[in-house]
Amino acid sequence: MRANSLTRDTALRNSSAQGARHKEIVEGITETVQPERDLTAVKVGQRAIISAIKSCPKDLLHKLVSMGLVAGTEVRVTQRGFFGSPINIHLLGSVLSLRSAEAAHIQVQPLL
Amino acid sequence: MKSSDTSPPQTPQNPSSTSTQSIPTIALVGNPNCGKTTLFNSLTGSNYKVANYPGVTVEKKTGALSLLNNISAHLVDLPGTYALSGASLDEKIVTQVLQGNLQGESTPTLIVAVVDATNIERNLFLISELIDARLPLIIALNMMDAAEDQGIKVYSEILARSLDVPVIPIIARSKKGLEDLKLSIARDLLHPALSRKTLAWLPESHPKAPLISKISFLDSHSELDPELITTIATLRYTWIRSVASKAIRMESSEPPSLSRLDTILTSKIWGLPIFFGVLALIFQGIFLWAQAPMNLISGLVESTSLWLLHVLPAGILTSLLAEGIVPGVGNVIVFVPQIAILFFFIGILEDSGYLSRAAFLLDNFMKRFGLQGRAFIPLLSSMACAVPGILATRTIPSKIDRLTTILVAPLMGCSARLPVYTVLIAATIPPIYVGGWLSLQAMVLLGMYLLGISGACVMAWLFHKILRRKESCFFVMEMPPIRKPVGRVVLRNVYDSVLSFLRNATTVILACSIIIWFLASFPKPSAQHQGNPVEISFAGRMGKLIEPAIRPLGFNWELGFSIIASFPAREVFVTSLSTVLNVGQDDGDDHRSLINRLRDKNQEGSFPLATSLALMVFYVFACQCMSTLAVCRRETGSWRWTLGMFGYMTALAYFAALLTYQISIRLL
Repeated sequence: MRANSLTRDTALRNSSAQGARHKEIVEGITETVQPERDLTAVKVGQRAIISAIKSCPKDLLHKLVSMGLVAGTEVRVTQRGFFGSPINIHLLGSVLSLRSAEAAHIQVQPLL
Repeated sequence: MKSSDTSPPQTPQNPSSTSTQSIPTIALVGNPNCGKTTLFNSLTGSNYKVANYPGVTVEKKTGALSLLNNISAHLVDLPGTYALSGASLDEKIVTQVLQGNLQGESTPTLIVAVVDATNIERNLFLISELIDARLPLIIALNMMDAAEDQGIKVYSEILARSLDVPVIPIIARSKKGLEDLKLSIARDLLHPALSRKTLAWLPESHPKAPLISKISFLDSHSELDPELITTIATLRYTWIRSVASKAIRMESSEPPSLSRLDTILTSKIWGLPIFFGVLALIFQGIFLWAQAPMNLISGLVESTSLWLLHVLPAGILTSLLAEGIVPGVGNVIVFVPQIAILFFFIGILEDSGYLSRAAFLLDNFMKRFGLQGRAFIPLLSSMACAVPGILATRTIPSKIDRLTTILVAPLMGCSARLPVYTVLIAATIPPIYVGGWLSLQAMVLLGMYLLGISGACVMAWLFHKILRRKESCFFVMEMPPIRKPVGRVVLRNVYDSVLSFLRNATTVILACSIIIWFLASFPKPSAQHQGNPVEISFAGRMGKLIEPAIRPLGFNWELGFSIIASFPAREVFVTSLSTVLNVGQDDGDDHRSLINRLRDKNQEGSFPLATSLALMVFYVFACQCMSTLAVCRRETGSWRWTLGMFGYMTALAYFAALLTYQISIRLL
């Protein structure tokens, strides 16, 4: 788990220092973290860390960030509906249900 | 209350409300599903009033809170929100009330923010915004028992220190910690204090700091740059994470896995069969379990009518009372058991959290019809009554989705359709049990509901296609944990719903009963007249007027008039038909006699199955409810859509009934 917590801390450090969306992958730890993809690519049961939210309509953006979908938050996909939608994710103590079209805006770094 | 030295300029408070208020107002805020309503009920002793905020259809609950030393306060339960800064109607109402900007609402002196202890980090987002808005605040940390079950240990004193806000642990469901909460409220009312942690999440060195510190946190942030919105949220959560890491200790590092029940309920194999099983159970229950209470009530109505005829002198007024009003209203009250059962089931589904699982299963499917998973709850409520169903559509953020849902909600079924279906089914469908246990009558009832639902799907798809513009319709829904429903809450809900149904019965239906009785009783026939005296009354004339138009549907003037009469409220159909067919002249007035009369007509051929089916189909689609139209007008804000709804439904009803009759008369 050490590698994961390092990734997260660095993500936090970067986000608080620059305060902007970023897509940098931590140097030297690339082999334990998969490259950035969107949330729809994360398998059921897999965890991921959010890195950014891309090209999203403003009202959806506000909803997503106020629910905790910001850079640095760890999420875990728990269920998917028929034909891949909706996607249930567990984060910060609760479960959110999102359509795949909405989840596609969320860039994550899947773990392991 | 608000320190104005360094804060950004904020809209001034409504002066009249603060100066004339003698009893302080306390506002309850919090995320949805955090137990805020349970706390409100516990604090007010279920002694509350439900109304609407002026001009909008957001529900307002107010009650009285008595603290110690004879201090009392108004307690207002504000809508649950995740933030203050969004553009949704709920958030707008909350920020307006908190600022004291809403007409006729007094500014809250104190805010009690309810925080779910199992979900503290996300709940703190709202708290963080409340602190930034410089509002006097107390935190009620709820669901401490659930937190303990999940191995979450919260140090409330540390949390209080980090936020500079009093934190009181409570369990609203079992009423624990409420005395401490009331103590803290009383103390804060006397000596209000603001948290000093305003903008604590914003590092001073941050490049955007000067820009951010000028933002008002009590207004919508929809004008801001999306990057700025993201930046602010990210910084907030970073701060929240550091606060949480000091105040919370998780006993297990593994997050709780999806409970087995949850997995089954949402599984691709079992999810939908379970859902349909639940629906079938509900319909079986409505039709069969209500029989005994219904017989009891109809017996009472009949005895009352007879007793009145016996006791009062003969005359017009007696006739009005014993043959118009009592059976008129009685015929509707007899359906209270069925309605109560329906509302009971919906209450259980909602309180247990199952509705969210159903929304999850159905969203992908509903999307194809221009609806969304969240429309499911309003549409399901509409199966009991379209009025609360339409009101519930405010949870749908997208205007197009919301309008579509409102337009098709009345098709979903309606507890007032039940009297019509029940009477017609009992009169013309034989009581056979398929396979020995499945009632054919219940299945026909289910069939009518399914027909309405299918109609709703088709119309929703059509509307969505026509109305679709470039607007985002999103789903994002929180799944509350599955839990045992609280009997108290469910029963209170049934009680409220039945009460409002009865209130409707005694106003609209009473008025209609009187009018119908009048129309059917005058002019009186001459002594030589043979046959049904109703035929030459005003009622008869109206029915005869439209008879040519409805004959292809298999309807005659008796049905025609009853349909006209039931346009204000569907239940009136039963009342009207009884009166028009002159039921009750011989053996006391109750729907049993109506069913018997219709059964006789069915046997003798004057009321064939085809007509009965066509009539039922007509009622599936027709918009016959003044209350629905009124609510639609209020929610959509336009007469155009309201009249449009009435128009399309009437046209649909006519053609569907036409089709049904023409086909059935050839097949059956």
